[in-house]
Amino acid sequence: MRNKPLAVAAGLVLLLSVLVFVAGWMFGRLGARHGPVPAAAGAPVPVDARAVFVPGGGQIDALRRGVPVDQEGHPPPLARVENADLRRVRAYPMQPPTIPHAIDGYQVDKNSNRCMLCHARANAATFQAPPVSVTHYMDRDDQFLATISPRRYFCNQCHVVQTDAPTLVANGFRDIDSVLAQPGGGQ
Amino acid sequence: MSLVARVRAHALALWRTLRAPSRHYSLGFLTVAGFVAGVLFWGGFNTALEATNTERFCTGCHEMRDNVFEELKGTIHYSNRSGVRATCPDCHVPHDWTDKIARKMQASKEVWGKIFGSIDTREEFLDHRLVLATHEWARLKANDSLECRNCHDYDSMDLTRQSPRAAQVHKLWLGTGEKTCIDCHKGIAHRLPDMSGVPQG
Amino acid sequence: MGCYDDIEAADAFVLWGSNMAEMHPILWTRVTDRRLSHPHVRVAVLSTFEHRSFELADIPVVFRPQTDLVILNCIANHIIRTGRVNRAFVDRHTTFKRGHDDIGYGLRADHPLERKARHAADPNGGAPIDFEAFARFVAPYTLDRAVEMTGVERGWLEKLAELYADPKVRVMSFWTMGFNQHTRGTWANNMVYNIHLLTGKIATPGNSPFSLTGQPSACGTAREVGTFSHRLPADMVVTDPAHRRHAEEIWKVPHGIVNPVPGYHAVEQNRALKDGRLNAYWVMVNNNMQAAANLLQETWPGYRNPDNFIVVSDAYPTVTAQAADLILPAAMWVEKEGAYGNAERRTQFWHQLVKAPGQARSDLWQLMEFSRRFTTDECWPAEILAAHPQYRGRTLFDVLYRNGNVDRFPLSDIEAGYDNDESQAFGFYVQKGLFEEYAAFGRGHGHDLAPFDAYHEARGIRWPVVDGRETRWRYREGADPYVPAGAGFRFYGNPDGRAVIWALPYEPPAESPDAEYDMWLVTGRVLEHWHSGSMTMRVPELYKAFPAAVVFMNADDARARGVKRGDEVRVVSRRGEMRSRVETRGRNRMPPGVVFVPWFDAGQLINKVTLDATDPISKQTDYKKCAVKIVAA
Repeated sequence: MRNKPLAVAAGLVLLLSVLVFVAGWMFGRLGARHGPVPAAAGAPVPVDARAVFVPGGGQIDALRRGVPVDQEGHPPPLARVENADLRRVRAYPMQPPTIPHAIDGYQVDKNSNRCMLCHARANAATFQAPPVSVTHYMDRDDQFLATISPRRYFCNQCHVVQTDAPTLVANGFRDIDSVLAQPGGGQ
Repeated sequence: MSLVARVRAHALALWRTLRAPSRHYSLGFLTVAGFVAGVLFWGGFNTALEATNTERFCTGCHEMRDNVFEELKGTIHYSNRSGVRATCPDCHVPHDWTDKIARKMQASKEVWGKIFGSIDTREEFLDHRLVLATHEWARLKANDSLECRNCHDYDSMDLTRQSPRAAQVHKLWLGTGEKTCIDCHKGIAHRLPDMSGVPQG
Repeated sequence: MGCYDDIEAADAFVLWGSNMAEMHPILWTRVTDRRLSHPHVRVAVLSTFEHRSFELADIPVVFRPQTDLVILNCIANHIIRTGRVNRAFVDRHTTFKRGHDDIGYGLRADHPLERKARHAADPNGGAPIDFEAFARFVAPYTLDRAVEMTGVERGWLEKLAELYADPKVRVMSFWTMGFNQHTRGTWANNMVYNIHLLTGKIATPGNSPFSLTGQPSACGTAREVGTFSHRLPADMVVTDPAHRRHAEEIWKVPHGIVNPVPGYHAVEQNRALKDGRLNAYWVMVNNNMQAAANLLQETWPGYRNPDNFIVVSDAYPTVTAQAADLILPAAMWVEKEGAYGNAERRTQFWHQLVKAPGQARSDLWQLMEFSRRFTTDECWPAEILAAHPQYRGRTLFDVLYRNGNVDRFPLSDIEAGYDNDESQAFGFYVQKGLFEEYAAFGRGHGHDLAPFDAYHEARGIRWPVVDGRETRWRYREGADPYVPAGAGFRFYGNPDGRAVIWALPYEPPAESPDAEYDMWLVTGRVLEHWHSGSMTMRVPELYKAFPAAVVFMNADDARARGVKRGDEVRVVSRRGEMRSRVETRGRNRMPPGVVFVPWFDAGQLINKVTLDATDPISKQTDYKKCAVKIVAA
């Protein structure tokens, strides 16, 4: 050939371009989205589940939301966790208070306890979070310890969040104060 | 001629060609050609570099896919209300070029680890976890949580749209500059290692 | 054979298919306390998915469903190969048996799986072998094979095996429904005892194979008292003539009255109702419409079979009550004086504290009152009445209760200040009479209970109670009064006083995922709700904490099926389907190919979908393994 160096140079540039182009093409294709998922076909039509229980029609309880046992209804949408930081009334003094905020992703395990970040006695003032109750410092024999008893480490065993799910069944619970307030103590 | 002798002869010929001044092409042509070739090379290099900055590439190794990526899937940086999510490089690869290249050079240690199986099993990963996490915390602390701030800008935060606790804490500590994101949000994307002795908040 | 005190003495805890953090939370606080206060303690948690108990785990093991059997044999093999068998203990206190395999799945007799099972008729049989034969039997269960079959990392299995093999580690094994609601659950139970027996780690403080049944008084109310369809009190059985005679003597009825044929067990009852073989059915304290597997094919047609008369005694309008022909209002626990027994053999009593509302009556009152409506003339065989004419013309109430034994304690024995509506109704201290009659079965036979009045003073007492002393560890000399001096250990439940080490293999489940039904379905509970939710769904705080069942699913599995968190899906099996919503976050982190649905929600009856396969020996349904597909709705 007439000019070897030019050929070499041109060949290298061409080769490099081709390689780069191919690499880019392959990487681009890997991230491609799949087509839309086809909708379910032939499913039996579910019964219209009602959020409000209407007696009759063989239904004796609201928990089934008005759907006969051998049929299916649309399940209610996932309830949302209340996140307003509003403390709630306890039904009785020793009730573990419900959590007034969301706890999504809060890690509570052997490695780390997210709740204690705010609710430890030392941090309560910083974060204005209620410090853990004094009962959490007691061991099995009701002796007081200097630090939180390891028995109480997993907060979620007793403390739960509350969602906005509408209650299905009426509740007639009266706390001890309302019972005692009645003339003669009530029964 | 023997093979060695022939290779040597070709190498010498190539060297002489490269060393000799251009006989047929003008300076302008060579400059422009070199410029174009440089652009092409740079494009190729950058494409390859950016390919290693994708979630797909990072999770190509089972160590990453089965451990940290799996843990990410339950968090807000993976799935949330707005659908705006973070992928591996958004948090772990610095955006500006010099730091990025420095990080890429550090990554050779990861290639070594992959080849020699330093964290081949979950058990080994859990044993190394604190060391790995500490690197990242140190990096983010040193650059004032720069990677977080690439997306989360305090000045653009509408505190009224946050929960009361979050708004209060952000105003008191983030807004004043007293704390940086990573001080409190360790474990926001992956699970925390043994945190005894590690200050949080 | 141990007790809860083992928790404070153990160096290692192994949870076999038990989610103690949610299901036994009080005991879990004790385990947590032990682990966090003593850094040398190790906690291993094994399950088919990651749940809250994994938060304390040092050795987290997520295994493929049913391969717990492989892990158990692998550990036995490890103990033998590494020379850590406690030969002194094994030679003196154990025997070896090769159990029958290929025992079927407790399905209907005409099911192909049952027809081809070789030992479906004699699932609990076996032949004696020796130690060498046992060692050869478990030899194929190598670590490599276990890794391959279970999908668990090698390192975790090795660490787990060492907890048992290391003679210095006192290990406590906990298990509940992951082992018991299992088509080879009896095998799993035997195999976990195997590894404790091979190492001699049993019946001493901290070394404790501990079955966590007894939580809802399964031990006290069902097992000990003998309310299973084949049982009599104190571990006796109706099939044994000597046991029947003994029962008839204590109950003061003629010999030949107790039926030698076991009744239908729970799963069989549903089938019998459907087939019309069982026509009158009284359900007490039970919500089997919601709790039993294969609802649409068996339970529902059984209860609604027009040939059948279904009576339900309950305090709540459950779906079972809804399917009944007659509902009787039942009194609840503190509306009556009663007793229960828990997992550590502790019997505890309580007094009636409030009156039942309206016309609600306790189950005890209902049964006793019901017995007034039968006479011996109309239900006893003529030849027995001919042989014992003194029983002619008497009601069953007179025969069973007004017999000089059960009615011998007066009302004045009732502790002052407490109501006792049953006793007032019948004129004698009912609970005391029945308890002392029942205690006669066990006293002197290793099931000794304390005198009735002792239980109203003590906060529960662990049986056997001999000479006023409770037993904390059974079968061990010094702790158990029935073990003679010098014996060391004696497993006196067996005639030769030796515990059995069973050679049992891995066998696959009744139904595994396939091309069409490609997911494992595991059912279970959540912390906030007890069983079928009949109580807890009515407590606002508990209901609002977890208002409806969901399908816990791996995020990638959801994405692959085009569903998002919160989407409505159909959970479909060969037997039926149920609608629910997807949950990809939360307390349960599912591996690919496995979904979990809790069964507390009357509005989402997951048992429409489950399979009524049981362990052929224990008859317990396997609620943890069947094949489903998840379809976007």
